[in-house]
Amino acid sequence: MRRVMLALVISAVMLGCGSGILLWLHHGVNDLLNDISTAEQQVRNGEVEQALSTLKLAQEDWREDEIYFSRLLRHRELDSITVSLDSLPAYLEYGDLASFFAMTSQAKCMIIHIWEAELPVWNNLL
Amino acid sequence: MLVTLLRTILIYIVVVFGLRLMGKRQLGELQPSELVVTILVSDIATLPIQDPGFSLLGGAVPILTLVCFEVLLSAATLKSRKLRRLVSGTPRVVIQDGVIDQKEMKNLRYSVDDLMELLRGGGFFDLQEVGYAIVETTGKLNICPKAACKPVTPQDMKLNASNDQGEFPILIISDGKILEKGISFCGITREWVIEQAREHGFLPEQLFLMTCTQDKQIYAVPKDGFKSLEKGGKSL
Repeated sequence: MRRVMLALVISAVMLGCGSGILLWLHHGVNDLLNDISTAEQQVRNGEVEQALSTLKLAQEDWREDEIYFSRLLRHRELDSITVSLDSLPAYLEYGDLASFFAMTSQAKCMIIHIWEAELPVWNNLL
Repeated sequence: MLVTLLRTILIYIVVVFGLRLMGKRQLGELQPSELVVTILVSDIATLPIQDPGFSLLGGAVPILTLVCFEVLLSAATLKSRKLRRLVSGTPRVVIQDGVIDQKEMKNLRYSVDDLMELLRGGGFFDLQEVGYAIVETTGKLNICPKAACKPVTPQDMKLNASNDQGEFPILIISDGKILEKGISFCGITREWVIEQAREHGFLPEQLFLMTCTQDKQIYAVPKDGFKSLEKGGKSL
């Protein structure tokens, strides 16, 4: 009976943590997507310096979140996002806007993917 | 490399914890669902060890999930006969009253060679000695010999055999340490154990093991290198 209770407790904890982690991931992903979208808008408005500082903040936030995300998700996917984010300021500094927007699209796609891959939907289950 | 080393140790701890959680049922004969869990757990456990990019939780969570599910399923099968039949199946009688049930053997996909091999494994080389043979849900074949082929018991010889369990030895000293559970089971005291050890010429710390039956019969084995105190051995 003790084992059954322990199994129930562990199952409940895992379910609870899983749900909590999903919500936290959603929050982190949304923040990062908003930051990138803000940077894109600032670049379109010609506010390159503001865009650079927005990207810098986004990178710092991502680095903090990445420490915990790497315990839950595949490192390869997280590393791809890190690399993409790190390349954005360089494109802006040298005025390569085409590559900048291409890289932001790529980064947003990868960020959305890590969120969608964690959803308990039929696409992911099957 | 250090990462792999530490991940291996952590996964090992998780797997051992998981097997302990499943209990002795898992370590003995395996039901089909238990076999599935064992195979899956061993496969999943290697993933975080082999691939450092794979998160440790990504390995630990499926293992714990499988183990918890198995424990809950086995608890549910205790309550529901239907579920037990569905998950584990039912034992099948392949030999009844000395007659082989060929239809049942076909259902089980057992060949004659399989049957003979299992009978030999159970110590029966002559089919004519077998009264009943039952294939359990674990795949094990349990055999009941015919009455005429059973070993003789004291009851058959109409001998007076004691019905109590007085001769069942309990371990009271293990590797020099007195076991409290053992001495309370035998209804003896620590002082009595020490006295008995001395009577055998040893101190308790010098004994590899000592057993005691409920009617106080002692059997002691000294550790290597220790001589009996009577034969000039040194006390600690």
